[in-house]
Amino acid sequence: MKTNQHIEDKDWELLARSVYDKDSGISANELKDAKNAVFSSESESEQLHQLVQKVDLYFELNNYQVNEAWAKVENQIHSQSKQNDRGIRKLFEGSAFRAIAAVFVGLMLVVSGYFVAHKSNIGDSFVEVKSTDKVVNMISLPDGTFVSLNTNTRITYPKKFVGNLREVSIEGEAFFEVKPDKNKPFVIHAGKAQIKVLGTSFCVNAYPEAKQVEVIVQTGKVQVLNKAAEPAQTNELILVPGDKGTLVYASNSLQKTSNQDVNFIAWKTRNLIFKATSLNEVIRNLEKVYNVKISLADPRLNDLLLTAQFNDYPLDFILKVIENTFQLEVQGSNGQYVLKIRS
Amino acid sequence: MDLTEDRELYLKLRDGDERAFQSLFRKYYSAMCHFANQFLSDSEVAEEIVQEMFVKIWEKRTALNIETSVKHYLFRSVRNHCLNQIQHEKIKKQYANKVMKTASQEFNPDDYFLEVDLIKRIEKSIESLPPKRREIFRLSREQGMKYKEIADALDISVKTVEAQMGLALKHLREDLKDFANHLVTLFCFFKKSGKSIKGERGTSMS
Repeated sequence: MKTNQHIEDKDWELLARSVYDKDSGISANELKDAKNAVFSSESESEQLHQLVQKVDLYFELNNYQVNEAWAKVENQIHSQSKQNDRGIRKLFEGSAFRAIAAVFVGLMLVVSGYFVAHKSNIGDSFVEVKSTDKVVNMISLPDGTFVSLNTNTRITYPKKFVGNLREVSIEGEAFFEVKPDKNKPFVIHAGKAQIKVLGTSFCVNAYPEAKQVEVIVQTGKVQVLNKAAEPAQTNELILVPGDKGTLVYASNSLQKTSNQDVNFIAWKTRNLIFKATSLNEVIRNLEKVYNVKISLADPRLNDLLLTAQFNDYPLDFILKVIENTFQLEVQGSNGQYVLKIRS
Repeated sequence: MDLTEDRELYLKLRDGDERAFQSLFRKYYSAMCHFANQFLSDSEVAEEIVQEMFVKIWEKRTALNIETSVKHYLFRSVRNHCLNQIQHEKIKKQYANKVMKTASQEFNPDDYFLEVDLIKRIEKSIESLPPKRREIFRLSREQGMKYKEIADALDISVKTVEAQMGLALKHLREDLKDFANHLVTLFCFFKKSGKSIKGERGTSMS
């Protein structure tokens, strides 16, 4: 038996050399013998040939980064869409005022203001873009700055930046990639905070209900001002990459800490990294990134630790991984999920 | 089954369903790039063309009218886009002619495309190789290294590389046998009892 095994392995060695090591100098007879020994028919040999090709094709296709490519295509179809679609709805002349009014009274209407600005004359010279339950990626401002809006976020900016400042205001959470312009600082009004930059990328979190404004800097340098500061209080912070500045409304105080949240920008990138992260925290992140509600049926599950990295995977997939890792069961659908111990 | 899945995705795409669009994209993107690269010999340009094509498909989704297989439609479109690109750039005439000739021949999308199931099976099979063997196999297939180069890189003998590659191939064959069977049955219909014949041979030898 052992000898047979050995002989067969030698045959496979020859076969492998014939396909994988092209100039291996195997004689036709040798190869024929090996084939005869391993295969019982010509079609089995053909099968192997097909298989070898498929496996090589597998490696070939692995060279293409589908996730990155999709991100590009997704951005393009969102920024170029000239018709209504589910994510972004545009306003056209006539209906513009009514729809904007609807936004103000808080109806869940998605509006892409960038196009509005060019297609219709709302107000004087301002543009408003509002996201609802979907992230809006890469809005380009008149100066070439890019902004991504998390869900339920509104940004207002002028059609054209005149004067010596570039001023915008936001409510909600947004990621800015500011086009550098030393002569024209970029200023963001977010609640009671004013954020001033000279060309950088950073994330501003200023949901009104949060009663605080957070700024996390990825690159560059950012100044945060407390517009409501009392004379004796610190009214200014300078943030560098890795810093987080928080303006807490309750105490009317500005605080600088280092940003501990590796996933702060995951709502935009959908790249989630967990390093021995508690399940509770994992779920909080998933809720934010995928805009869903997830709860744990048993408080003991809170403290389970997950280590994993997900680069733009669908939620279903991530839930499956969690299910299998911790022997849990996920119930629910359509944005409402419960995690239970498998019975 | 696959045909109907594509059909369904296509119909949803026409109705503006972005998820269906994304599914089609994810399913065919790599294969289409690989196909485009055959004409362009530049994988970056190939990717750009395929991305551009998908954006166009999305933009004119309501006007799409695919009567035949969606897969064939996508691959045909890629080919046409590549040809436009080549003509546009006026690549050296001789080379362009050669490409044009190749491109006018029939092609089979399945030479470029792998079903998700098969991708998973191959992935799993490679993952289940012992670490050293897997490394050697990857260097050969992923990096395109020759046996000698692998031996030098890992500081092992060529003999070892030969043995490990043989075992890797044998493993893949055993592991993916049913799939391989399926693949070939598409071509040679008469063959269906590979397993039992192999079994008999085994008995007579021992």
